[in-house]
Amino acid sequence: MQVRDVFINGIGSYVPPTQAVHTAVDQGLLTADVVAELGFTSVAVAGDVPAPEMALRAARDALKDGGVSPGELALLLYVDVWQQGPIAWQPQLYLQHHLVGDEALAIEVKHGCVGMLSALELAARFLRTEDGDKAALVVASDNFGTPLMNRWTSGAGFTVLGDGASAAVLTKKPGLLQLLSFRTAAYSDMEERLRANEPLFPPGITLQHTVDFVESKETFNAKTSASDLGSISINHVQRIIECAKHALAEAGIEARDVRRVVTDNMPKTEAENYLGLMGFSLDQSAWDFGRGIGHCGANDQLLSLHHLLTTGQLSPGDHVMLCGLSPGVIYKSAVVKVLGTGAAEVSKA
Amino acid sequence: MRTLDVFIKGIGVFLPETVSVEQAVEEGRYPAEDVELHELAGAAVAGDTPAPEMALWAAQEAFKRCGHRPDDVDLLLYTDSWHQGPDGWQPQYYLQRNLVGGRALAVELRHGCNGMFSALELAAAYLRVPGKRAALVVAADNFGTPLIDRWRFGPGYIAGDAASAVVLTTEPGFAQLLSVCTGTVPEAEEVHRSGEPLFPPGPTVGRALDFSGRAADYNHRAMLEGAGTGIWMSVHRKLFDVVDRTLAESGLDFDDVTRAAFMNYSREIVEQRGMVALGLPMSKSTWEFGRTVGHLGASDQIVSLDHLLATGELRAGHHMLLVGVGPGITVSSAIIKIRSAPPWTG
Repeated sequence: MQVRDVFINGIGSYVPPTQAVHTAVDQGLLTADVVAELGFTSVAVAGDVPAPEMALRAARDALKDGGVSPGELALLLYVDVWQQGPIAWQPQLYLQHHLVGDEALAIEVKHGCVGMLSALELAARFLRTEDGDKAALVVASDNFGTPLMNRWTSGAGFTVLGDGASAAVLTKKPGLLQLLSFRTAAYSDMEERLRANEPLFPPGITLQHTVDFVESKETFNAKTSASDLGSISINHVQRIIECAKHALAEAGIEARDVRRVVTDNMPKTEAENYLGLMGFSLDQSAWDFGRGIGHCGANDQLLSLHHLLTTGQLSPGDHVMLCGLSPGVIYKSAVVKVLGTGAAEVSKA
Repeated sequence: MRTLDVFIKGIGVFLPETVSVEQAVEEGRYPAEDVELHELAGAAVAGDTPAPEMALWAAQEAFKRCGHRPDDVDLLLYTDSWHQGPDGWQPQYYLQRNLVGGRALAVELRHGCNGMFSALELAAAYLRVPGKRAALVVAADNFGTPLIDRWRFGPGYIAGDAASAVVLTTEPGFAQLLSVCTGTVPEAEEVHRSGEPLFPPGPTVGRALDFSGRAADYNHRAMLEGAGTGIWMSVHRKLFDVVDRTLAESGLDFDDVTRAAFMNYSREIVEQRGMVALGLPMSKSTWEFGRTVGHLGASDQIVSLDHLLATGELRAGHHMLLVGVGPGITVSSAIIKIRSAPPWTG
């Protein structure tokens, strides 16, 4: 999708204090070998701060940063990948109660770790149907420090999990960043890859199953033939490349015009491979920042973007690609252009 | 939101066999005293059919009935109010794999039992972008899992399982979505979580759903704090305002409503908090049907619409009002105009 008339006018971030990865090694939760391979130095750990509370703090900062009042909001999209609070209750209601009020349509959106990018896309579409002075708020938040989830090993081989929240205010008035394009692709042959170890019914959490992506991946690989795995791998790579290519084309630029790339906080080798497929280097990414906070669900891209802006690593005119992958498999790429560096405030606990 | 440029081309429903309240009473699962009190008749029960499978069947039916190609959709919004499958995996992927393919943006939306309304509103906005022509909106839930008791779902309602699907297009279809509106009473946010901590999240510690307990806890606190029943007056007012706005955006009046579908709750709730509050006669409600299938998560209103179309109770020129009240407290409302008999009803 091509966009030209919607802007990110404010960004908020909430990153809790970090815990060094070696402390997990000391506790026997990870081996030093795995840590060296992953490349992460620390992860953000929120303790018992509820995810909706972190979301509220990031959202407040984003509104303040963008100079937008809650009454101007027509839409609130709340993105998450993990459990948020009481069963069958929804976290966006907490933000309506404490910040947004009763004017905006407020919905929880789930699209795995690309959820923030999909929410930005949906919000951009929505805003185009609203009056010129209306704004949309998109928030992501997760606290993985709960039972049934193990931040150090649930995604071992993939990543380690960090907690945090991020928020962006979208307006039709030119602001901090101009949205240029969004592209989504899916590869359904891999749909079972991260659920292969469990039946569809009853849902795992109702049986108190601990999330185990490693076992799921192994189960999937074991029941898929080597030749199928080979062609799956080729198709997977093609989709990564094409998704990025289309997003760049819709933005009217080429890969060499991209100043920085922000993506999921993956292990170093994986990040290098993924970025390399699209024609980018690890140096262009925010991996040096990401390795210090862990993979924060759907927050990584926005937290990294906020970090680059607030540390002076981006200038007006720069193009940034936001991209990532999610189980499904879903591929997402988006391009934004920096218009100003703003007064994005860092909110650090 | 005015949605005059969005049409309904197809509807699909998957509604499993029902279990009667008499049977549930005999088996000791439903309180005998509630039978007379709430006048509910039964609940649709899907057994161990996964919700995403039900969603697939409803969506397949919607496409088949209207002749639209499943891979020709630009957006898939999958809405649900209960857990769908393994965590970290999402149910819309199942429909992408088995029906619509990888072209569409496919996202899971959660807005409790108002999810279908919010999905219709987002989809309508999405379809306004030039070049986008069709969207699939699906709702599905199977409440027959641990951590929930369908017969004690909440005060005045029991949970039924179902899936519903709507194919929205920008080309004219048998029905027209005239307007979808939402309003919230945010100060009532705690009604549906009162007495439970936000952290750690309930599902991760195996805490079962207890809407009755939460509502009782909230009301108890409200009485102690002297807030009394003021909040319910706000909800009452919000319901009227939101429906009034939906009608105004549709260029209609309350008298123009042919039929009105609420959540499938007890007679008392549907009548007093719904129809009477809007000044509509109970005969225009869908309660007689709804009481037989239970509260179907986010599917109540579309399943009722499908029922009225199938029985010929809705015809060309008729206006159907859909209304939902859910956690938030969120009030949603939509108006659908029937333009012609749906192609599948002959």
